[in-house]
Amino acid sequence: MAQIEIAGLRKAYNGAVAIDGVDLNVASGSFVTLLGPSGCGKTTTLRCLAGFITPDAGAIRVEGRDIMGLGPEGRDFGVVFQNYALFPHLSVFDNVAYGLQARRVPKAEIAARVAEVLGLVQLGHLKDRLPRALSGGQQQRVALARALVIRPQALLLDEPLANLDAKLRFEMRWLIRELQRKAGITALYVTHDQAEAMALSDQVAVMKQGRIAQLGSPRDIYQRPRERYVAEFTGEASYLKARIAEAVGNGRYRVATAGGEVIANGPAGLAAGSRHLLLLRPEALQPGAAGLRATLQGRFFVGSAQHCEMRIGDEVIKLYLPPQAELGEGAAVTLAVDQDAAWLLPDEAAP
Amino acid sequence: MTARPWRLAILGAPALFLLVVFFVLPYGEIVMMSFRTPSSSAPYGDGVTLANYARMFADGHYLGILAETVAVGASITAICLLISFPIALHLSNVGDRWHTLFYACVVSPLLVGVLVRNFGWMIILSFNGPINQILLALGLIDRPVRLLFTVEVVVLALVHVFIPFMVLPITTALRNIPPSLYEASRSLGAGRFATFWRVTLPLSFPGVQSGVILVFVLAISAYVTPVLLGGQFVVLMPTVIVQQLIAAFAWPFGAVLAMILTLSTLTCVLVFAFATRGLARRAAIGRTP
Ligand SMILES: Nc1ncnc2c1ncn2[C@@H]1O[C@H](COP(=O)(O)OP(=O)(O)OP(=O)(O)O)[C@@H](O)[C@H]1O
Ligand SMILES: [Mg+2]
Repeated sequence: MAQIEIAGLRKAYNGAVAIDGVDLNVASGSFVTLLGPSGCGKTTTLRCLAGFITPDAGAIRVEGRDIMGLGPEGRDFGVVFQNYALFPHLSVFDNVAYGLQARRVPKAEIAARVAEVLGLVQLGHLKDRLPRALSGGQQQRVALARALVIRPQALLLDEPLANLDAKLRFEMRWLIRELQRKAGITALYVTHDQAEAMALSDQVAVMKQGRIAQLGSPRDIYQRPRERYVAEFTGEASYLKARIAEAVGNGRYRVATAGGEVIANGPAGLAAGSRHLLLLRPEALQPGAAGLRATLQGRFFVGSAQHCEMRIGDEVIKLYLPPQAELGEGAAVTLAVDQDAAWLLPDEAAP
Repeated sequence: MTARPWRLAILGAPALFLLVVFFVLPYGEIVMMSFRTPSSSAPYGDGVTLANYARMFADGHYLGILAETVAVGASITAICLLISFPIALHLSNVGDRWHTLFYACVVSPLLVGVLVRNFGWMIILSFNGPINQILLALGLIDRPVRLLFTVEVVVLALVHVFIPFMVLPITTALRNIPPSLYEASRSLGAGRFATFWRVTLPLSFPGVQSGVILVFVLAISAYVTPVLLGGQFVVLMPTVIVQQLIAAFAWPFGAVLAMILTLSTLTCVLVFAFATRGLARRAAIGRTP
């Protein structure tokens, strides 16, 4: 239960910059996820925090106290590794008890606390097994229990679910969230799976090439991304070139596109006449009476919906139609735009 | 996997042939010889007897030498282990660039033939050799001391040449430990020393076990070094056996001594492996999913 502050964190491996000025504030008790593609520096950030590597520059403070001088053993973080890193020669009980023994907690208390946390992850009956005799999911739960039992200042989790199958990943997601809430513990979680990030987090930090591109609630980064990179990484997205006709309210604009004029949200203070990209999430569009004029270019049936590609001028956008909708290819459709799911982005290609 | 046994048989045939001709047959011969009466005209006579064994066990002299041989072997193994562990620790940590160089340094004792190596020791340790001269020059001694033909020198020379057999298996075991285990240990609050004690040491045990067995077996059966550097002041089992066979021409009794030495070694190894089996099984880093 601690507030963590990372400021200007920088790290290069033999001259190759891995993270380049990461700033992040993790509020006490909150669940923050670092989300980004492979190689963007998520693990490096987490490992700097855990004390496994020393950053070249920057500061890390816990509750306002600088912890850069401390080794990993002094930082009091519970780390969960992608490969679990269970001690292969120790039983489940001894693995979980390890951190308590290192802290010289009395024997009786160790037994009680280990039993309690093993109960939470439903592994009490396996406490005498060696890790190699456990399934992947069970090993993952031991790793979680081992990190939680020391009641650390914060949990640091690096893609803990990456090695599990889809169903188990789903279950573990809830377990992690529930345990974190119950313990009221601060958590920093690393993943490249946007659905996982959204489902778990209070705040998501989308990383891009060693920096944090945007920090916000899952809703924020999904509906109001600051740049195309963030929009792309947080879900299915299409874009239309758009020019602002006029502001019609605070952060609300009438914009002109190749398919006609629509009303869309955007950051406050965009100038009339400026060029932007209109971000359209697939669920923002529905056939309607008024809106964008488009022609159906192609579609495929996925069971719960039909995924369609629509042509507007020389641009193509995606949307989902209900499975029963009957539309022939080449049909002209008018698409109503849900104002709250359409968002204006800076057009990086525009001069 | 059991599909083509004849293929396995063909692959194994040369090894099996060598094993039978050069190991099983001679050993069978020694076992048989140890139960035969002595003869002055042939290696052994026609009679079958237990007298050779009786003589061995009745004579405290030989049992004493056996005990000393085991003790010397055990000391060599222990000293080797103490010296080799830090070397292995270092070797498992160095980057790829330096690895080959360190590796070469470690196996260097094996690159010199056994005779050359031992004559080297004799020159270094002789009355007017460099060691004595240095000690004289430093004023630590007034006149040259006898360094050669002591059990300490035999131990020193054997430790030197057996170190690679200890270092290499331990290095392999240490390299097999995933670095994330050290990180996990540290992040759980264990310092460097506690991490070494609770993670590094137990998980290196499979390597320690191989190294200990290898060095012990080699040390017990070493012949050339004790003879050359120990002379008649250091009398160990292999020396006595060769004396019996060659000098005294007492083949059946020599065979008894050889049998006893082999059985003692085997017993030591089995006791050690049995006593540490739990640790070895747990420490074997399995295929984790
Ligand atoms: N030990 C290292 N030595 C050299 N370069 C490294 C090392 N570790 C990471 N890098 C480089 O630093 C950059 C960031 O790596 P990092 O592991 O932090 O990425 P990541 O976001 O965790 O990626 P992934 O999702 O694949 O785990 C990468 O370009 C990587 O190649
Ligand atoms: Mg990573």
